[in-house]
Amino acid sequence: MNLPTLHTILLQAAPSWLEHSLHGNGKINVVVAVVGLIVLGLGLWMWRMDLRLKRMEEQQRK
Amino acid sequence: MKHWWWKIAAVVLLIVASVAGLYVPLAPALVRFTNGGDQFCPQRVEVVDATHLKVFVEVPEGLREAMTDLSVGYLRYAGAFYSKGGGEGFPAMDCGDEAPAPASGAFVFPNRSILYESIRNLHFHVPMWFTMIALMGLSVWHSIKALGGTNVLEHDRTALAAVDVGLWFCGLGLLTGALWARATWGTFWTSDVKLNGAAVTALIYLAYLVLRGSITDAHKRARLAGIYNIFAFTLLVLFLFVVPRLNAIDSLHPGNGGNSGFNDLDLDNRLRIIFYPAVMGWVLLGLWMAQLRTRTARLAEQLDR
Repeated sequence: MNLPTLHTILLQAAPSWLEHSLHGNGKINVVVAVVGLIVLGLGLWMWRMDLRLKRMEEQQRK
Repeated sequence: MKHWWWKIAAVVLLIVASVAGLYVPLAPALVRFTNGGDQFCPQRVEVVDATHLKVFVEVPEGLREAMTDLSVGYLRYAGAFYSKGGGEGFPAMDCGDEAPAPASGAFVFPNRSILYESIRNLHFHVPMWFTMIALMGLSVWHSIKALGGTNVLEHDRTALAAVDVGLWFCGLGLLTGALWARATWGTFWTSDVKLNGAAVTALIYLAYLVLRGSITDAHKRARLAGIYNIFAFTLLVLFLFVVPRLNAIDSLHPGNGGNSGFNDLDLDNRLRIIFYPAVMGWVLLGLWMAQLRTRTARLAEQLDR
């Protein structure tokens, strides 16, 4: 008998687009998404710091 | 050199840990063959390098004349070889659950079912929490100093900056954790003790910011926020370390539910070599961010005067 791997069981259990994208290539896509999310988060932090400095520069000019 | 060596260390550690965390190959998981519906297992598996595997197999009696598929973990090579055996089939073998041990010298990450490649998230998701905890610790230290009475506003400012950056890392930890949970446990959020503990901790620290916002007098604010911060950090320790380890509560997270997080079953030594530098790198980066936040806050105060 052909034993289905856990991978295929999971795909059958929840066959959404998200599972298809997350479970591809041995779930490396999750790692890619997680790293992307962290970089995005750090980018947003930099953006906020940028705004803060801009405000201070404007204040100094007055 | 005296003051900025740790910033270089942060960058170097993060580069090393991130590259290694993504690059180190995964050990092959369960290797098995399927011949005309019958499954058989190899005797021995050796890792040659990232893309080569040496598999030793005893050909079972009764091998059919058929294409034989080879499965390595989640990868399936249909029709990997053709067998000309004239057998009638054989009873299916149970190959077990354990990943075969890799050859000595080949540095690979362990292959765990369900996790597979996502085990690499250990080097990205978990350091977010370590960084948050380090920053909250730094914050409570400065709060205690502020309550001590000297340089009150200076310490209070650092305490706020550390909580601010710490909450940022908390948010990243929650989001990356949700994504990982969706791929491993099938849902973005479960009522796991550690998840609920993290959420409550986040709310407690958000309340810290709300409390600060509601007081206008700077010295009064520093005192009240300092006292609240000690309370908040105590709850953080309780919710993230004590409650998940209670025997009565089981958790999906490794190392919880009555046991410590750092035994061999929870964290492989090959992962630790990358994990600890990753934690150090992220903590140093978090401290750097908190320092930048403190310095801009100090400048803003001077400009306001």
